[in-house]
Amino acid sequence: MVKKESQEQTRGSIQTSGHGNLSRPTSGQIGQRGRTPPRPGLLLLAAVKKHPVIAVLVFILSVLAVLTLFPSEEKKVRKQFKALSNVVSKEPRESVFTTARKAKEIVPLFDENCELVIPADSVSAFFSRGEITSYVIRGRTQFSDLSLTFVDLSITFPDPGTAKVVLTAKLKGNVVNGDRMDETREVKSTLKKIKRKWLFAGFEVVEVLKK
Amino acid sequence: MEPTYHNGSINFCCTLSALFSKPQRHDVVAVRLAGHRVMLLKRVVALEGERIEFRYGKLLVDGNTIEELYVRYPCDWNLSPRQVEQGSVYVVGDNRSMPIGDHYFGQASIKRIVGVPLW
Repeated sequence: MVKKESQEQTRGSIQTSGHGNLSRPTSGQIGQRGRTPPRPGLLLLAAVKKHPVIAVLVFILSVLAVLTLFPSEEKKVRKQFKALSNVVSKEPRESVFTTARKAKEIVPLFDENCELVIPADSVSAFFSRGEITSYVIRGRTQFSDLSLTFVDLSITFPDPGTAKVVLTAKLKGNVVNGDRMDETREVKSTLKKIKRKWLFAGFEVVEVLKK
Repeated sequence: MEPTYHNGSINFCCTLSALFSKPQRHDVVAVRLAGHRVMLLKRVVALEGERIEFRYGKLLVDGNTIEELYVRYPCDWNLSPRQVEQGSVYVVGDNRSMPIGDHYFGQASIKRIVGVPLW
């Protein structure tokens, strides 16, 4: 009996000492505390400390994914100019199928009405989407090869639904009759955001050199 | 600017000259468009306030014929007299053999002149 009592006393003392030493828990005790999980931030920090190279790679990939999946409005506007450049440009010996495909791709780039201003030629008028498409198609047939590029784009957003772009447009090509065309002009363009798409609503050729 | 400078060529420009001095007649200048990647290289033929005209290919400024040694090809341009606005200079390319209607020239704001080619 005496021996049993002493054993119980020993157990009790162990339990008492376990509860009393809360400030410094042992590793076994941490595993038993399942009710309060560690904070995710701390876990992430621990993972970054353990694998810094992987963490940096994951971060870069995440940023790239966000930029690709959710492009900025400026990037969307630039993309629209690239699309216009693609549909207007013409490779030598372009096939009929490519011509037809490009003609189809011109239409959705423009707003219902698009204003065209060329002060040197006294042109200032609104053209419908269909008219612009037919002008572009007709213009392309005059060239055996054609290249339209846009450089030095400066984009501003006066209001959320409008983009104003100042750029340099370079038009190079060989006319069917053998003449060479090489024109460089400063252009001001207006784009309107309609149904989450930026559409061309106006072009104005800036008179840098006034005759 | 043929034959002095070839179309589409890459040139280095000194921008300091545009900051500290005004362009002079016969200077070749770089005229800025929307940005600084693509520019026009033209020759200054008339200064602000002057009256310019072309008569049978000859350049006349304020009624006086101006000798242009850099024009190497025959020219038959005719352009009625016009006055250069304040704050502008009149620039023309050296290639005068092409038809006047196809040549891109005229008065440019001095603010658009960003420099002169180094060579």
